[in-house]
Order: sequence, then structure tokens, then C-alpha cells
Amino acid sequence: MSDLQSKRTPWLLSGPALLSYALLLVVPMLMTLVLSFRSFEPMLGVQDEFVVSNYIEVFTDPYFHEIFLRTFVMSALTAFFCVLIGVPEAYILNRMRAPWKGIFLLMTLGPLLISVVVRTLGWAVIFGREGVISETIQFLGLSDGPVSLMYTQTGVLIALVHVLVPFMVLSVWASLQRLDPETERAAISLGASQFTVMRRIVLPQITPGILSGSVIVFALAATAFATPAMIGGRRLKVVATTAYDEFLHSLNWPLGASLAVVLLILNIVIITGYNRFFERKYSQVFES
Amino acid sequence: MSYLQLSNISKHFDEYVAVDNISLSVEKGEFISLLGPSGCGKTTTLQMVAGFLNPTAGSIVLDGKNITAMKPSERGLGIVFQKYALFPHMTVLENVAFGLEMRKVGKNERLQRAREALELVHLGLFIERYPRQLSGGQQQRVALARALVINPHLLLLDEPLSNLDAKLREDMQLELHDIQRRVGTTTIMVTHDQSEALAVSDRIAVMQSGRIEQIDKPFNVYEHPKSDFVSSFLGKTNTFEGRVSHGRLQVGGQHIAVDDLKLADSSNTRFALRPEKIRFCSDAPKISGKVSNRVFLGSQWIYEVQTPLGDFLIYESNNQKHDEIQEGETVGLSWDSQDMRLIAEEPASHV
Amino acid sequence: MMRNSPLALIFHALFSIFMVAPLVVVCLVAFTDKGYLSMPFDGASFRWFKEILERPEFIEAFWFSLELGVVSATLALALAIPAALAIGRWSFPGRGAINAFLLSPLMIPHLVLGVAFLRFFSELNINGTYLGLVLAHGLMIMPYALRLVLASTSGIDPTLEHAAQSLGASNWTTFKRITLPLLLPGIASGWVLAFITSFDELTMSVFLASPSTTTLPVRMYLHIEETIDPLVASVSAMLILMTLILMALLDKFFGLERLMVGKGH
Repeated sequence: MSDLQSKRTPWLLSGPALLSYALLLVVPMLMTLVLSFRSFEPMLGVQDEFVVSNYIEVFTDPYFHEIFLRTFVMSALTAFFCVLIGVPEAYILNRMRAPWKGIFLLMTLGPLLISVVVRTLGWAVIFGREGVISETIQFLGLSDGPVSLMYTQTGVLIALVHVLVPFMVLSVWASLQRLDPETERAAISLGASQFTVMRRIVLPQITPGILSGSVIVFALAATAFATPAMIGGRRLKVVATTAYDEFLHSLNWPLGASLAVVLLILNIVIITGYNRFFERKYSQVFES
Repeated sequence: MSYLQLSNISKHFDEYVAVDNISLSVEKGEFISLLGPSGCGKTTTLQMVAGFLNPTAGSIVLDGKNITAMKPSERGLGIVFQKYALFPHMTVLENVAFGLEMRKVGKNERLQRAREALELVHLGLFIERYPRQLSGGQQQRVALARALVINPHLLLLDEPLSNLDAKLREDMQLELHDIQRRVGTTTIMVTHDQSEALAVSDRIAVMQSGRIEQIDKPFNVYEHPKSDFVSSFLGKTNTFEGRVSHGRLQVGGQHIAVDDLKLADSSNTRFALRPEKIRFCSDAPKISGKVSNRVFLGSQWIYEVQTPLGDFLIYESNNQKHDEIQEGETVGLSWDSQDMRLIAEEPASHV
Repeated sequence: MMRNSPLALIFHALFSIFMVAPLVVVCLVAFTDKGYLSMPFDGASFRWFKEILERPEFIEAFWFSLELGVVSATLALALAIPAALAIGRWSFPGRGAINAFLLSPLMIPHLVLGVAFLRFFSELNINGTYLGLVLAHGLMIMPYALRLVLASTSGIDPTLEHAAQSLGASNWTTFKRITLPLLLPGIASGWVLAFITSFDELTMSVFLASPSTTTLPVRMYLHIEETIDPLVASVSAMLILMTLILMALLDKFFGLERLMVGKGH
């Protein structure tokens, strides 16, 4: 805007938001950080002394190692399968004709508007002992008794992929929109086969979209609560459900807080680490 | 005192000097163009007249009033923006009536006046449409009507024709010229297009690097450029260097008579010669050369001729009766000495 | 025009089945006439839909979530609109940092937000209150609202404002007559996205809800923790139906694709 405008105006305009963030974001986060360094006595509750024992416990106890490892593996597999099915689906959607393109895009993205509780419930019904999968397997004679995917890694993985794959489609879709279709035609006119066009022309141009989609999916899977809680239950704990139990069932708030802090830091490291990488690698090519 | 007077205006953006101490007087009813390449400071100058930028130094006086620090909304200027800046959520009629509404003109009167303004630009039939439903040329006219309907003290045009295709641009040049003459509003136009500036302006200010290089009538700016920059920015030109001694120009072993230019002897002189001033001739040519390329443009031919003075560009109208000149042919060239423009000279050192 | 190969279409069909299967199954199960989860093919009824009416806790939770979504989305927009104008229309030192700061809740897992608010509100003695949930939801959805409003501020050509000023409009008139009307689609879609995000939220709310302030997702989650019966399926079926209607309306007025782009991180 013009230099006649006062320099204070933008600060006045963003002031209310900044103030409420200071109060509602910075203060609670700092309090959580402090809480994670407090000790806990089962009889007396939270004690006002500074200890690092919660972090020592999180980092040394094999119980937590297993939970962190499970969370990491599950998130990585979720991201992998989202790439595997989300990327081709986005590409296919983008090549569809007018009414179908819109309809199927809505069908893919629409579930994002429905609570994750509802979507996960659907899988719980499908995975249950009387569920569709169990009935089908028994009907085909592949198993004598009922089969359940509830409380299994596979079950949680399938549900997480379903919940998060729309983000992958969205991310790849966005980069496909920026792709000039003439570049594909140019490659064909130069004698490239369909497969070569895909590999040499399309894929390199949508790689940023795939990478950012993977990071989004990975981060959301690593911090997901509803799906692992409903499908995995107490038997397959992840970091989020463990922190939830420490807070609301064991009432060991300091330990829960330290789990939350570690989760937050890992999340931020992964996202910003990716951004750094992305900026270095792709900024020259995709600067607009 | 002129109607509009810019005195010693400068604009600095931190270290960068966008406009460097320029002064400009505009008479009432005059059409002035600020012409120059991008980054020459012409748009910054216009923004300062409009009030969107504050000058770092200098003053702007309009009709006896100092408006240097006045808000843009109080200056009463009509502005046609480069991309028209039509309000997308208002109809054509509402767009044109907006300025009158701001002046608290009654509803019936302002709609009446807006309609008249749209008639003036031949858009009487499109008043209920939205801007996006109009072609580029039509949007341009709406922008012009919107600026003119408030009877502005000054009309500012920011590259008004740059978003139109070539044919439409020529039509609009004539129409802009015609409308401005009829309405009589004092106008400043910013443009990088020399033919646009030549076609519509009373005077042209050629700008470069934040300064005005030359300001004069279009014919004079073209025919008597004061600097190398002006001569090369307006139209094409051939330049060559040589030494003047005893009324003859020596260049590359050639001697060209320049008696009638009455030049003092010099060690080094640069001349400019417009391509359309050169003609082919078979007897007593000034120089001769070989045609290396020729292009037919309909109304004229363009030739490139390799001469001892360097490559020459020659325009010849498609009205000549001599035999067709082929590429590779050797031709004689001639011109009137007074068509040569002296750009720079270094006096000969009489050692 | 390039066409998809038959192989691609088969893949697409499988993908589509995968996407809708759980939702279709939930809707089917809701129509069972049995007392347990089963397909309605050997006996369908509206029994479990009638059951919802007998269970005021679901209906109360629904109205509570609705109100919470409306209030917190409105609050978030009230903060997001001026902030978006500051970031989108001015260039000033600290602009990038403010933008990053205001979008930062997107990087914080909802679990962490829930933990932090639980601690903060307990100290203030407002945990489990309506106020606490409104503040927490308001902060959580603010970045979504901000992003969509910001997208529409940067879509407005600044010369439109110059044009209005040159025609005599004051700063306030320029904002009211030019900037705000052009911003409205962004504001409306920002509000809708903020509302939906609040309405669907579980992970953070589960830390903050009390019996008198239970949102619908929390109510459903607590029920599912106990038992998965056709009742939650019928509640889910109702939610799916409402979402379909909402989607149709949104697509008509905003274009759903634009809204969805705000949802991605």
C-alpha cells in the first residue's frame, strides 16, 4: 500500500490476534513445558520441584521405546501407502473429463468434512468379528472361525491410510494444476512414450507435491489419536494414546506432558527439516 | 504560472533513486506523455501526481494550489489504470457512477451523467454488464468514462493501451486523441510505446534513469533528438562516427561532403541518420554497399545494407518506381546532409 | 485430450470403493433391526434412528457442537480478518514472522493443544467450561480461517483501492465499498472451514470436555470406548447425511475444491 499509510496500522490490525495468541498459545505451551519438568507422587499429585526424571523415563524405558518405534513405523507405512495409491489417483482424476472429474474429486476429498470418529467407526464395523471382512473370509472358506482385524497393526494402518490419503491427493492435485499440459504434448511430439512422459516429465514436476503430501500424512499419522485409539485400543498403544492415558487415566500429568513435548518437537523437526530440504532443492526450479 | 507545475521532484526508495530532481510544466488542456523504458521513473512520477506516493523532495502545484501532501481522494484527478482497475462487483454503470456518488451527487443526476459519459465512449448499450463480461477494449473505455465523468482537474493515464492487441491499440489511440480534444481535460499519459506517445501527445517528455532527457513536441523530439538515448529510443536510427576536417567527414577511408552543416573541425564526431531519410541512387552516391537482407512490410520495405560506415537500415515506402532490389546486390546510397543529426563531438586538438 | 487407460480406470474404481466403503457400511449397519452390529439384509428397520431420540445426550451434544462451532468460528474470523488485511495488504518488518506465528497452531498436534489447554485452564479454574472450549476451539481453527481470508486479500488488485481513492472515496469508504465486498467469498469460506474443523474435532476436545460441555465427537468416542453398537452407527449415518447436504450447498456457493485447498497443510 502507499507510504501515506501509518506504519502502525498493520500492528493495530494484527494486534488482537497476536495478543490472544500470546495468552492462549504461548502461555499454555510454556506451562506444559514447565509441567513436564515436575515430579509426580501417586498419592500427592504434581510436586513443585524441578526434575528431568520424566524425560529420562521416556528416553530409557523400553516400554516407551516400543511405543515410539511403533508410532514411527506406522506413520512411515501410512505415508508410503498414501503415496502408492494417492499419487496415481490424483493423476487419474486430473485426466478425467468435466463432470466426472468434479464428482470423483468431491468423493475423494469429501470425507475430510466428516469427523474422523465416523470414518474410523466404519472401519471398526468392517474389521469386527461379525464384520464384512470376517464374513467374506469365512464364506470363501479361508478360515473356520471369525477373523478380526481389530487391535492389529494392519487394521490401524488401513484405517489411517483411508483417513489421510485425501491430503496426499490434495497435495499432488495442487501441483498437477500448476503443471503445463503442453509440456506433456511437447515430450510426445519429441518421440517420448507414455511411460517416458510419466517418468521424465510429469513425475519430476509433481515431486514437490508428493514430498509435501508425504510429510503432511506422516506428521498427521504420527500424532493421530482417534484412529489408533478406536482400532488399536490399549493393545496397540501409540504416543498419542499413551499420553492420553497418562493424563486422563493414570493422572500422571508430568509424564504425559513430557510425552507431548517430545511428540511436538519431533513433529516440528520433521516439518521444518523437510521445508529446509525443499527450499534448497526446489526453490530455483519452482520459484514463481 | 502553468496549470500544473512539478518543481524539483525526487523520489528515493531507500538507496534507490527512482525520480531524480525533475521539473515539468503543463499548460491547461495540454496532453503530455511521459515516455521511457521501464524503470525510468515515469510511473513513479505519475504516482506522485496521483498522491499514491509522497515525493522525497519537491512540490506539485495544481491550478495555483500546492497538492504535494494532499490525500489522493481529495485531489480530484481522473486516473485510468494500466489494468483498468474496474470494480469487479459493480456493473459498468455503477463503476462510472461511483466517483459521482463520492461527490454526493443525487442518484438520478449521477446515473444520468454516468450514462452520458458511457455514450461518449460508445458503450451506451453495455451499462448493466459486469466488467468481466466485457472485452479488453470495452473495459478500457469504461475506465476512461469513469475517470472523465467526475470532470477531473487532470486526467492521468497509466499505460492505458498496453493491454490491448495491436489493431485495437491503433483505433484507441485515435479515439483517445479525439475524446481528449473534445473534453479538453489536461492529460498526462505514461507509456513506453513511442508510437503511442507520438500519435496522441501535444508534448513528449522522454525520461531515462529518473530524469527528463528532452521535452518537446513529438515532431521535434523525433527530428531533433538531443541525446543518443532519445534518438535511439524513438524510432530506429543509424549512427556512425568520423572526423570532420575542412567541411568533409572522413570515415573509414570515405569522404562525405558535409559543407552545408558548417561544422568546426573535430577529432571525433557521431552522427545519427534515420532509415527513412536514406534513398537509393545510381549516380553520385554518398556511399555504396551490399544489400544483406530485405523484408517486405506491406506499406514499406526494410533493407539492411553493409557499408564502409557500418550496417545501415533503410526504410523505403512501397511507392518507388525503380527496379526491384535483390539481396546481394550492390547499391548506391544518398541522403541530404541536413538530415544527419550531430550527437556528440570532440573538438580537434590543434597541436 | 488424453484418456485414462482401462487399467487406470480399474485402479480408480478400487480406490473409490476403498474411499466410500466404511461410510456406506456405517449407513447400512444403522438400518439393522438387531440389537448388535449387523447388515440389514435380513431385517431392516428405523429402530436405531428412533433410539437416538430416546438418548438426549447425543442430541444435546449435537446442539452443543453446533453452537460451539458457530461461536468459535465467528470469534476466529473476528481476529483473522484484520490480521489477514495487515499481512496481505501491508509490507512491514516482521510481516513474515507474524504470518508464521499466526499459522503455527497448524504444526502443533491436537493432542499437544489438548494437554496445554488442560493445564492452562485448570490453573485458571475454567477447565470443562463453555468459555474454555470456545477459547481452545477459537485458537485451533484460527489458522484455517486466516489462510482462506489471506488468499482472498492477496487476490485483490491493490489498484482497485487506488482507483476508489482517486474517485474521492475515503479510506473507510474504500474498505467498505471495495475491499470488504471482494473479501466476502474468502471470509465466508474461511468461516465454513473453521466451523467444520471445530464441529469435527475430537483429540483436543476430549481433554477439555466435561459432562455439561461434551461435543458430539467426544460423546461418540466415549460411547465407542464402552461399546460399538448400532446406535453410534445411526448417529454417524445422520452426520454423513448432513455432511452430504452441506457439501452440495457449499459446492453450489463456493466451489468445494477451493475450500479443500484451505484444509491441506
